Amino acid sequence: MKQPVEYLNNDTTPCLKCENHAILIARTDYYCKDCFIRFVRGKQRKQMVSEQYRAKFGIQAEKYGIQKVLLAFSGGITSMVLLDILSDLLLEQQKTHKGVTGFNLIIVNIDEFEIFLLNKKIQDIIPNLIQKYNGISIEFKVLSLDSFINEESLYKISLNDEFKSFFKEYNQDITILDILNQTINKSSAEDLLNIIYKNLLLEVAYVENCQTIVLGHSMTRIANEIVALTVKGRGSEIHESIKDHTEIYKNHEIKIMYPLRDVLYAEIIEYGKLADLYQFTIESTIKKSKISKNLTIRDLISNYFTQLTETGYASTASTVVKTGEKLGKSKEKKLGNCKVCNEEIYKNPSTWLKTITVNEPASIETEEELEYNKLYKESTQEEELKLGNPLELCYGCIITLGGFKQTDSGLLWPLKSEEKQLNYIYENDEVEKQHILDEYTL
Amino acid sequence: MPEIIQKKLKVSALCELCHARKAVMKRPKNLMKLCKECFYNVFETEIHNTIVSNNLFSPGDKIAIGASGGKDSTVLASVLKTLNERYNYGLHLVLLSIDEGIVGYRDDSLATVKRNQKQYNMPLEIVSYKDLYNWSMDEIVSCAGIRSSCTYCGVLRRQALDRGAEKLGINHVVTGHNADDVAETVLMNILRGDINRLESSTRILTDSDNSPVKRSKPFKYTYQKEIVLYAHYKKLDYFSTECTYAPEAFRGTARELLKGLESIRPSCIMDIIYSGEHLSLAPKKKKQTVAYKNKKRIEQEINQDGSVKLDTKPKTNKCEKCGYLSSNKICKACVLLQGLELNRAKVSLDSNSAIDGAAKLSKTLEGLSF
Ligand code: SF4
Ligand SMILES: [Zn+2]
Ligand SMILES: [Zn+2]
Ligand SMILES: [Zn+2]
Ligand SMILES: [Zn+2]
Repeated sequence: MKQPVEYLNNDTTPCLKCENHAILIARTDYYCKDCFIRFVRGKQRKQMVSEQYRAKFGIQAEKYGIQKVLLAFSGGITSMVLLDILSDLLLEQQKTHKGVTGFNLIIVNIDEFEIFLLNKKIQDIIPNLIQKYNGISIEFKVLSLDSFINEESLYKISLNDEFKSFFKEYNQDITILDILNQTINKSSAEDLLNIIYKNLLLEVAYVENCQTIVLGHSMTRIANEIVALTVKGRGSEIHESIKDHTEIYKNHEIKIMYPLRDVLYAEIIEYGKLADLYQFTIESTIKKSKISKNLTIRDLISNYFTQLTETGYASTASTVVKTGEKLGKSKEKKLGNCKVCNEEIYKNPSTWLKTITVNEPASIETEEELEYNKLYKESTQEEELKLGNPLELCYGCIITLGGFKQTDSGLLWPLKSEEKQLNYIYENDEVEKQHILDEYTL
Repeated sequence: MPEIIQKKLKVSALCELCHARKAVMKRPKNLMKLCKECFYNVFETEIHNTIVSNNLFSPGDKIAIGASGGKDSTVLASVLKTLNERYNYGLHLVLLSIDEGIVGYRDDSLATVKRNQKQYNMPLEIVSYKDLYNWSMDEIVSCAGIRSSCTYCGVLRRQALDRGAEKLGINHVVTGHNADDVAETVLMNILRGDINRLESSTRILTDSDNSPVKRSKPFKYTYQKEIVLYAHYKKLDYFSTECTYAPEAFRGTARELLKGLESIRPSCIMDIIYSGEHLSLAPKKKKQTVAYKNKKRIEQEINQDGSVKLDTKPKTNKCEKCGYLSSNKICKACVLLQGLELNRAKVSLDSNSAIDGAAKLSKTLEGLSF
């Protein structure tokens, strides 16, 4: 079967772009190593052509002010490749414009060391990366995942039989890991992490005055996201979340971009190998289960795409992305915003679910049944479960909430999350020092 | 049930809804442990809710149940009969079967339908492809190949159901399409980029200009596994062999994916349908050019035949060949049949892969409607 990127063996076919011998075929074209790297870089440049990201002078420079781009950096291969590409862009800008670049780069990592049992600490690879990209100034920040929760604002959210959600105050010291460990469903944890990451990145971008957030999502990953959102009952979010778009966060406009949206995951992997980036990457030591019952929604969808590629349906990812891009706002009436994920709510989710998932028993008929029912009532100590006040949730969050044991725990979540205390585990103050030196030494 | 009296049940073994009877099953939709009675109750009530909240029927309606003898349509006939009596819908129910002409599959399943006719005491009408089109599915497959069998079969069935219903003076056919089918279609449309069907695939009632007969799916929110359980507990008489012409390969992969997803999150079938009900296409960006193009086309049309057609919707006309309602000169079925006649000798519908063939075919078909 034809793979998205195929290596050539001792082939003398010339590269599409230069005289050198090609080493691989990508999208039916022959490339040498350098030209393939340039080809992938070109994909990013095409996405970020806007004046905003170019070196600017005079009126233009004034108009845009200092542009700051936040790179969401997990340490995985895709974000590593995007870092490599952006550094290359900045270096080139510096060279051609006498030290002036189009934007400043802030690299933000949300610490996953504990939750994913990573093989390395990100703090340990940062010095190597700073050295590798020493021509440009990069700010690195590692943010604690627990920055998302603020003790005072924790609430316990639960669901009743009619799919209505409630909240009540809950005061206890708890970590994100504790919260996620209470799910009985891995996909629920995955869904909540998504919400946490998005919120934290926006918060950092806001605090740091970044106008843009870039994510390393490949075309394959975006296709996965489209299917995953559909599967999670979040179909109405697709049109917005997979396009490059602007979020309004605390009255600030923050642009979210996927500069590698035209690059296949397989191409990113090859770039990573050819540019020798794997020495820096970080991985989870948790082995993915072979049993699909232990996988998450996203895992299953990834496997599906991989298996499609193997059986020759290689263009599916791009078809899915194109389909997703054609979607727009739902034509249903908007009812409000979800208090957990902040997404828009259309068809009333609890009414919708209640109509098609009845929870009424058939009538009790015989003496014997009545007897059993009495027995049951005696055995349960009639503890009135006080669920608290009603809370507006979207369909996706109701389903996620269903992945928690309702009786004892429910979901613990910060509801009034305006006040975030960002807690950085690591910041490279070298950058800061360099700025001061540049400015004040003669 | 004397055994229960002898052995006292533990409270934890009771049904999670009534807490009065022994739980005998886990409900596939939410894994709740239920007794038989409560399962029947929730299963039937959910279908009733779906019918009522979507205003599917009015009193006095004559409804044809598309009956294949398979579990979906057998359970549909049984449940509709039950609900019609319980809630006084006032419906006249009729069984309508299509004989596609697939030896070893449809001939046996039709025998089941004939038994159902007696069991449910409903009139039965059978319409056959051979009578209607002079082609049986077996003949079509031997001529056009197995890969697009379902595409042919689907187009022909649609028209056959319409004709059967019309013959009976009925304008509403209900089919046994269940929640799994709907969810699978939503996934398929996304995976295959079938933009034209994205918005309509989750509709419970289709009422199209091209057909005098409306279609609805009372099982839109009913899980396939629950249909199987219901048929099993109620000891319904159905035919369980699959069609000899397996569904196309690509649909198979989507089905596999859905199965995997359901095993990790049973609600995902409903979740996908909820998503599907919210999918809508973004308005076209270049409004001006479109308006300009339309204008030009209208002008051309006036020049050509002197009549003015302002509406973008085509007027429903009749197929020149068969007289069936169609927005084109020749209806989809006749186009397919024409192609078959041409190919009767040489089988030339070779395609690179299953998906290509099916996609090509449905593109051709889409080109026909406006
Ligand atoms: S599986 Fe395909 S060929 Fe067989 S009856 Fe159904 S639509 Fe027709
Ligand atoms: Zn080259
Ligand atoms: Zn939500
Ligand atoms: Zn019960
Ligand atoms: Zn015709």
